[in-house]
Amino acid sequence: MLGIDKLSYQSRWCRVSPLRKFALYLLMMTLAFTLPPVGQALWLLMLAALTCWLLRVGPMRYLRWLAVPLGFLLIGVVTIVFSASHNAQSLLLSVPLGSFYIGIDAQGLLVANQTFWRSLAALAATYWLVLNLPFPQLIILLQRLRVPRLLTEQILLTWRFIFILLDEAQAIHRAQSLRFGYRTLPGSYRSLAMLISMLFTRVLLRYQQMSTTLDVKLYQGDFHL
Amino acid sequence: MLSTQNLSFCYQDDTVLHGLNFDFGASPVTGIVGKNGCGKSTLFMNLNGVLRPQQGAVLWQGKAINYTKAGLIEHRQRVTTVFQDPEQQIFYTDIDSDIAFSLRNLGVDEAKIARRVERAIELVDAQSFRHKPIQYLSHGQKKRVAIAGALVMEADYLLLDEPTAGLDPSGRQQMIEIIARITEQGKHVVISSHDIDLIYEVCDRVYVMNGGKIVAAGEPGAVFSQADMLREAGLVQPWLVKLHSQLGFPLCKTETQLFDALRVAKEAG
Repeated sequence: MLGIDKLSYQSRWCRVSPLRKFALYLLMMTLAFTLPPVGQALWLLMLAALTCWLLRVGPMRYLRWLAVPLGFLLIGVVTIVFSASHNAQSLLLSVPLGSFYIGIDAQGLLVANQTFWRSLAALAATYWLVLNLPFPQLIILLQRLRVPRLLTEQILLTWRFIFILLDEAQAIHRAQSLRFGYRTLPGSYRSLAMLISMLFTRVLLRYQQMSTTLDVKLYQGDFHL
Repeated sequence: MLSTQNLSFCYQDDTVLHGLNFDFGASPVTGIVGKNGCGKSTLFMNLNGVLRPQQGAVLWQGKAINYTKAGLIEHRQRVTTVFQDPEQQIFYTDIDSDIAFSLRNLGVDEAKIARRVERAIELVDAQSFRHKPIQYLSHGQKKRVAIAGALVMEADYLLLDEPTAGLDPSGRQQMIEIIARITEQGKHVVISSHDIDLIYEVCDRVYVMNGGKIVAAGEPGAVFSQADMLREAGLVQPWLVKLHSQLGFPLCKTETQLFDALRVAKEAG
């Protein structure tokens, strides 16, 4: 379902200590922020190649992951490139709009260039960490970094149960679609509302069952992380 | 030994169990069969102390169990439960921590925990997927992890609620082998199930429940030969018993036994 989670277990560095991975991540981030744009672009390529090699995945798959945040990034960059001014001379290219000129600004182009490569390099570094750090190692890392225990427990339980929730939502959605619940727009809204309320009651039911199990397993308020 | 005496339980005004007497110590594997809603799950919840009967009692060594916090912790170390839905009872994302959970709750030392987890994993044959994250296991594998999580307590009694529900034929066969391995260690297993063929094959003693009452009890061959009683309880006869009662085949406990008997008869004839 969320295949991305599974990938970290097939990483060539799956068993490398999480602390070493985290240290390397900090180094990657520092470089991603401090290198000049050309360096950042090269760094991005290296990180992408490293990630693909470690995970044994093809570049196309990697690009698809990158495409998700790329959309947001491009919109952000475009707004930096364009600016408005009273004076057509201050812009490289411009179109008049009332008493303003809207166009490409040299300064903006520079900033956009920096932002674009820096974000991508930082993104590649973060992808590298996420894709190479299996969940149990993340928990170890959080503990070593002295993240409050309650929060770590919360993360662990959320991670475990998010899959169950998604599975159930998917099953309900499938059953509704098979009975044409999403054929029209008003119907879709009704079905979605039903899905949410059903999910809610199921969550409560599950909560009850799990409290029973915790009782039977002699739970004393601690998950022993 | 675990037994009940005149056990009655009601949810609000609805009596679910009517004065039941069970003796789970009498045989290694006890089966409880009955249609949906006959009170099997409620019975299990009474046996592990989650629910408290209004009348009668759940007995351990002939004494009613103690419902204080300490009393229940003691009781649940002797009687462990595996529920039908494995998702309900697995809390971690890795198998080892999950199996160790109840021992850690008791504060058992780590060396002992490691030994016991190892043994439990061996018993349910989970070595091959031990390092996989739980969300990627199959339903049958999750079920085995849930059983290991109970076995790790090395309790005298294991309550299994629908152990074969949703399993494929090979998963079901594995479950039968797991139950055999548990009883080899001198433990008792109580199984509640709709899988009438399973109950017939693995149990030494069965109880048939209907509407919160015990309608038959005893040795499986004898109980399952009462076709009318079973029909009334919403059940059917095991296929091996049907072959015996309707076609006069020898009454065998397992398929292998029947085939061996038939082969011998064929060679002789």
